[in-house]
Amino acid sequence: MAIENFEEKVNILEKESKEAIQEASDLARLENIRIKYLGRKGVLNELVKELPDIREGSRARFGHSINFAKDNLERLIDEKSQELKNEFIAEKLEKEKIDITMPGKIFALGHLHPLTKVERRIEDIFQSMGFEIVFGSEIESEYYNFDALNIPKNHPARDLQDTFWLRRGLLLRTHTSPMQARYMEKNNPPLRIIVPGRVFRHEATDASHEIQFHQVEGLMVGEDVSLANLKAVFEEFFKKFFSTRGKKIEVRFRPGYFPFVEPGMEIDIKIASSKWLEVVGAGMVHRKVFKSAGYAPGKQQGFAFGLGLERLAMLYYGINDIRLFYSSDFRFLKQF
Amino acid sequence: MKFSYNLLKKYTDIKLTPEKLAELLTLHSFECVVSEKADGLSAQSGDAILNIDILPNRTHDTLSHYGLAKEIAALTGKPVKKPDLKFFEDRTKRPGDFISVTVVEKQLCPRYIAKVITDVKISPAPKWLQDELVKFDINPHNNIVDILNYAMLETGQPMHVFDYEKLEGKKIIIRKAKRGEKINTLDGGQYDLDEIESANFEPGGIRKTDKNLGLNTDASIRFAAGIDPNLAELGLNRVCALIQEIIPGSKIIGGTIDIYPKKLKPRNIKLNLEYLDKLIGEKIKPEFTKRTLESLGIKISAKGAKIFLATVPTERLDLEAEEDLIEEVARFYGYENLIGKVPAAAMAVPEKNYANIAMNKARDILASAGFSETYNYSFVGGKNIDENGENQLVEIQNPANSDFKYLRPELNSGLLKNVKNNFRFAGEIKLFEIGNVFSSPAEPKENLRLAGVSAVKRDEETINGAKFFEMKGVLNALFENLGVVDCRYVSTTADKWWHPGRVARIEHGGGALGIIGEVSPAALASLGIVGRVAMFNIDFERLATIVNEEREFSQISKYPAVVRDISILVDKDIRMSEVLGVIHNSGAEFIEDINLFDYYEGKELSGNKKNLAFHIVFQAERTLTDEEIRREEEKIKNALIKKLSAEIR
Repeated sequence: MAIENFEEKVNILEKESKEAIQEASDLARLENIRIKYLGRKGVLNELVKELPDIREGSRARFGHSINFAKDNLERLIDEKSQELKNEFIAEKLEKEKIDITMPGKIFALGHLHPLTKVERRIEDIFQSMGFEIVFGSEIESEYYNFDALNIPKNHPARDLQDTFWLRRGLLLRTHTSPMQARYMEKNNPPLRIIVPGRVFRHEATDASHEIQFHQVEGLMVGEDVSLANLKAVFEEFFKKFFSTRGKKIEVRFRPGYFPFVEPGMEIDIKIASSKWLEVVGAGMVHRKVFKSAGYAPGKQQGFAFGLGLERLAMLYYGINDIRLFYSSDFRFLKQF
Repeated sequence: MKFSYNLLKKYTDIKLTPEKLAELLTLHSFECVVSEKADGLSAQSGDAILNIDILPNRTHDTLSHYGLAKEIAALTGKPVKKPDLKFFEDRTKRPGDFISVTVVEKQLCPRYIAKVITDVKISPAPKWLQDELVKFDINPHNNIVDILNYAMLETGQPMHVFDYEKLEGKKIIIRKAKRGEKINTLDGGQYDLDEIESANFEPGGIRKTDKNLGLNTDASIRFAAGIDPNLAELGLNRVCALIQEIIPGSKIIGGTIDIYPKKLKPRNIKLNLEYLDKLIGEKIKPEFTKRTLESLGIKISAKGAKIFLATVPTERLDLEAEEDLIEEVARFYGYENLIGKVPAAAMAVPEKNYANIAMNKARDILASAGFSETYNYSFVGGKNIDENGENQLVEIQNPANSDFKYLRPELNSGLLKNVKNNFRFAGEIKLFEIGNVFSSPAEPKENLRLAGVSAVKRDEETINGAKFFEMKGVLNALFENLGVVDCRYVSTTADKWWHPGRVARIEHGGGALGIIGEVSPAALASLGIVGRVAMFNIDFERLATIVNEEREFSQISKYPAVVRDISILVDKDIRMSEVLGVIHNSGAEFIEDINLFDYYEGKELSGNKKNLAFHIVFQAERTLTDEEIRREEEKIKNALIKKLSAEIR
């Protein structure tokens, strides 16, 4: 083969292939071009086969020019391939554009009851202050519900109107306080417990009264547990409890009367500019309660309190009717 | 009770505005608010009405204007002005010339005093007195009744007036009513000769009578709370003074019938000042303590530097023990002024309550599975109760109403009621509840249970028992997360609520843990629910005892697991548990896991067959060869063919 011819061939092939690459509209076509020119049996390799026929002096130069053409083509194909890939992705991206303001796929988690949530908050705070959670039972004896708590036989709280009676002197506990006596009978001071639980009162129901509700009882007994300690515990409790609500909370401590404490105290809170609301009854454990629990007189002192769970939950969430808690209405439940 | 600001001012100097007085009382004695002016009272009379929540232990001494004024005087450090008790007596006769009084029940009536008044002219009371009564919502009646009511507002002593003419045998006998005896309450009539009694009754006797008769009078409330017997004299004298002032011509017979066999004496209490400081948690100056107690009429004598001997007047029935005196000092000091002190308790991590932890974990798992928590009433009754089962229920002796006659024996019917109610607004609902249920009426017991319900309005199903298996999947997730392993689902028969072909008993360690199933179509129809409902309930007390927080880590194998699929055609009646049993007992080794990934039964399959397809995972502590796996696979296939006449596909 004439030298000019050979060089010409390389040049034509190079030009032809460059054009083909330029025009390739997709990756499959580009691959065909690669096979056609660069493949094992491709046109450039065919040319290589002709090299031995070339005169010694020019062979090396022609070899170089073929290799150069090969490298050049490879580079161009790679570039084109990248370009096509980019185009493809750009097209895909454009095609796959969505309306991100459409709603998310419904994935319904359930909801915990607001009373559960508030109870957990309360438990967490008291546990961090070293209080242990214990449970009592809803069916209680007259003795533990009343007698052991210095509520004598003729006390108005024993009236038929307030208590749900079962047979054989049993009743539905009217407060969580029976656990004070039960726990102290079995445990010696120092002690710190809270008792969350359901209680029952035979009352007319309205937006703020229910025949069943929940309390969290508290009891701390030691050698020198004082009224000032009780105050500190509740100052801290309310600070923590309402810490996430961002509303101004005022706490008021005033005298109160419960037969099983002396001195007695009631704790009111006021949110923003609404009315004062009583949320806790508290006081120093009455000596008669220590006595019925079998503690030696004068050896210990302590405070006890009862906190209304519904009342706190109503304040916390701004719920205006206590009966909603027992409505099982999903439109209510799903808000928590 | 309502208090008149002006009337209070009669008995002590009050410089405070009604609002300030209300605040003072709230912080130191009783919750008090100034009555809304809407009733027009303040504007008309220049008076303010205070609504005061007298604490139950102070009813006996502060449920009256004079009594409360004493408390206010003590708080403000001002003197008390006694009510006007002056009157003239006609000493020519003695009350004994008119009547005789016998107290049979000395226990029930510690003191009975009476005076006789003649020439009483009954007429309407003067306007000022009528106006005063109206402030307290008391209807004016006539001069004598109005005086008695007014004197009670002033002194707190309930009193009674008898028409002498109508007094049978001119005798008053204080005794218990006889069985069958009727009581007529007095009202109206013209009297011109009266006997006025002022008495003290034992609180317990009064309260019981009220309860039985449904009677609750102003007087009985006061007696029920207990009253100082010495108040009787003050009340009676105040009435006499008012009668003489208001009813001209009336004559008060000299002398008093006074039956008071066991005189109540002032009480002595020893007060340890160190204990006082320790209980309050603040150093209180002994002078403050002394001044406070003395302002309340308590006599103090110091015995050394640490002890006060306190002599408590009879009017303070509530002050019985050292702590009662400490409360007086603390509240006068002001709970508001007390500085909170963080308890100096030994650092101790509180014991965990594992039942509570399990309960909260179960709640979280169920909520993340899409179930919302409900709290239903602990009471059931009315139509919801199965008549045959009534004697199994724990009965309330005094139910709130017939729908709340019994304690709930289970949680599911409450949840089904919730489904029905929520179906008004939603097409699908998933709920759960943790709560006590009650059984054994003879010896009432409570048991903590967890129940759930998953309901959809659609009745058609794409997969047989889809709701059942959804619920079973939820329970499996619950058990696994609680670390409860090896729960078994066993065929069972259950009551009419459950679908007989879709119900299982849940067992653990040989004992029943609960029940899962679909609600029977008949039960749904009776409840008026259209759709499919699956539910479960679990003995949570038992579950909590087997919950296991501990986990054991096992090494992740370095060698690859190999998965082979086996698809078989078997008789429809062959149960999944049998198929798994055959595979496990086929003698094949290295089986790590078997997962059903496809299940089909339908018309295209000939002769009552169903198709099951499994992923079988093989794993060993070395790389298994294809040949080894093929051998194990053959063992499984052969066993399935031999034992279940399965067709391998």
